[in-house]
Amino acid sequence: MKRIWKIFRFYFQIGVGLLNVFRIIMYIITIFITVAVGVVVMDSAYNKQMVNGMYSQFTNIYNMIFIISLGLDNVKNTKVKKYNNNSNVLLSYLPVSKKDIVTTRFIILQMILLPVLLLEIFLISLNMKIGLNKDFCVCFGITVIIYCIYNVSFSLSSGISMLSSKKYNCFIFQKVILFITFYIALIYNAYFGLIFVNNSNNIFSRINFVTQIFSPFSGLIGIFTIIISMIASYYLGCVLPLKLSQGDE
Amino acid sequence: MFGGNRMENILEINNLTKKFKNFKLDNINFSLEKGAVMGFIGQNGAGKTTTIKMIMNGNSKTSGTIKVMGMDNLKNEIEVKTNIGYVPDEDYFMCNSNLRRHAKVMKLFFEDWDEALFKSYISKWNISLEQRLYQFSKGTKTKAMLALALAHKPKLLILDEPTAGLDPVARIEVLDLLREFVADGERSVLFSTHITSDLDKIADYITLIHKGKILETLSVDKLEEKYIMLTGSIEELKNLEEQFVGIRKGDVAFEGLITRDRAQKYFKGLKGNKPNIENLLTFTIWGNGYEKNMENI
Repeated sequence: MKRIWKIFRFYFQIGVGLLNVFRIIMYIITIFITVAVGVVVMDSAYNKQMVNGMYSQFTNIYNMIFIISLGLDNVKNTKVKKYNNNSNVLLSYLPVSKKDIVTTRFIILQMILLPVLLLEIFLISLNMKIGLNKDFCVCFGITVIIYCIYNVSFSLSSGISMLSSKKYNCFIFQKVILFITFYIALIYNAYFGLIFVNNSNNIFSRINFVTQIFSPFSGLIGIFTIIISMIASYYLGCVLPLKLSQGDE
Repeated sequence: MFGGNRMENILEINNLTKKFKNFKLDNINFSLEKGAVMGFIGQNGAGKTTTIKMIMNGNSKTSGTIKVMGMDNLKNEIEVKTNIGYVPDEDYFMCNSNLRRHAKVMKLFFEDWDEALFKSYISKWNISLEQRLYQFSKGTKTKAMLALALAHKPKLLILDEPTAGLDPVARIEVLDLLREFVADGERSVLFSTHITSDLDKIADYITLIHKGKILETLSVDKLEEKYIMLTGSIEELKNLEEQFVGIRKGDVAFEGLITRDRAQKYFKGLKGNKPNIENLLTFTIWGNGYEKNMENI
């Protein structure tokens, strides 16, 4: 634990001071947005009335996390242009074990996602307690799935350096996921009212069944999915990199 | 194996093998005794950096053992790394950060960190603590890495091409510093370089690696005892090229590295010169029929 704390301090202290301030501010803003979303959702859930643009607020949280993750190039295995911006190279020469390094990286990435995790658990608990309608269930379900994808992709890109190389540039998962979530948010938010309007003539009602598949994830299945994603994340971020480093390169 | 007594060796590499797709580091064996400077020489891609990275546990090994101060580098990874000062061929700096921050984080991991010693190197080499590291020249980065490596008082200093980017004055200063480093007889240096003239000045031992295999490990004193550089006319060669470790022939003259025994036997009348490390490196690698000759030596 002492070594993990040292590595944590290493990541925090080696970067540019202003970047650390930026990270902290962004993290605080994320917490505020998360709390605000939680309060708004709770109010609207008790009133059985969805607030317009609620989904886009969820998207904001993920965007914030994405921005924070951009500031974690030194934690992830990233090389920026010709300059080295990867403190893991230095860390590998210091008296710490590889296991400690990957564990600390995993903890840091989980800490970034912690506000969203707590929000997801809060929403699922709320749903299980008062039994919300399908609109809420679909909305919560989608956010649970996005959380799980974020969680796994964070670990994958931080644990396996190969995926951050130029050759596998297309696997920069956070960017891909940001792109997807952004467009889902746009479509979902813009046509939110239309999708769930009980009108068979509405073309968006035809894709209603697609959004319905997310509904179960707003309940107990969502909790299990989150647990499975965390186990997968641990495997990809901590266990797999160690196994790969032991094998032939 | 040098030193005879295992306890005297600060670094021991036994049967080290590493398989890559297109390259194999094959059964590497050498050791470094306390108080010595060993030059680790070979062509680009011969396996020098790979071997060094395996000592630092940066690369995994397929088989074999690496012991530093009698400790296995995997089982006692933390203790081993605590006792090693490492200067890699490519800098490890965070480009947007500065040297002060790097020193600060190094302090976290090394209990023996000597701030005064670090500052003395920094002022000696006139390195800025506050300047962004991407503004440093290659030579300044190397000096900075040396200062960081020396400040935690390691027992073994591993340098991978450290003098490549340095100006002549800085190179001599660094070589003097390495001499001072090993002077107490308790600390050692493993020094990988292409600039063999540096090794002529400070190396006690030479290990020559070629295509993933150790060809030769010998003390610099023995280099002169064992080999001789012969030059002469083509007529004097008498078609005895095979007796040389390595030879270069022109239209009228030749130059070659040969063992003193063979020189005495086949070229008694020819004048010879003392070989240097560059001769050993180049002639063994260029040498025609090298493997055959080495097996017979």
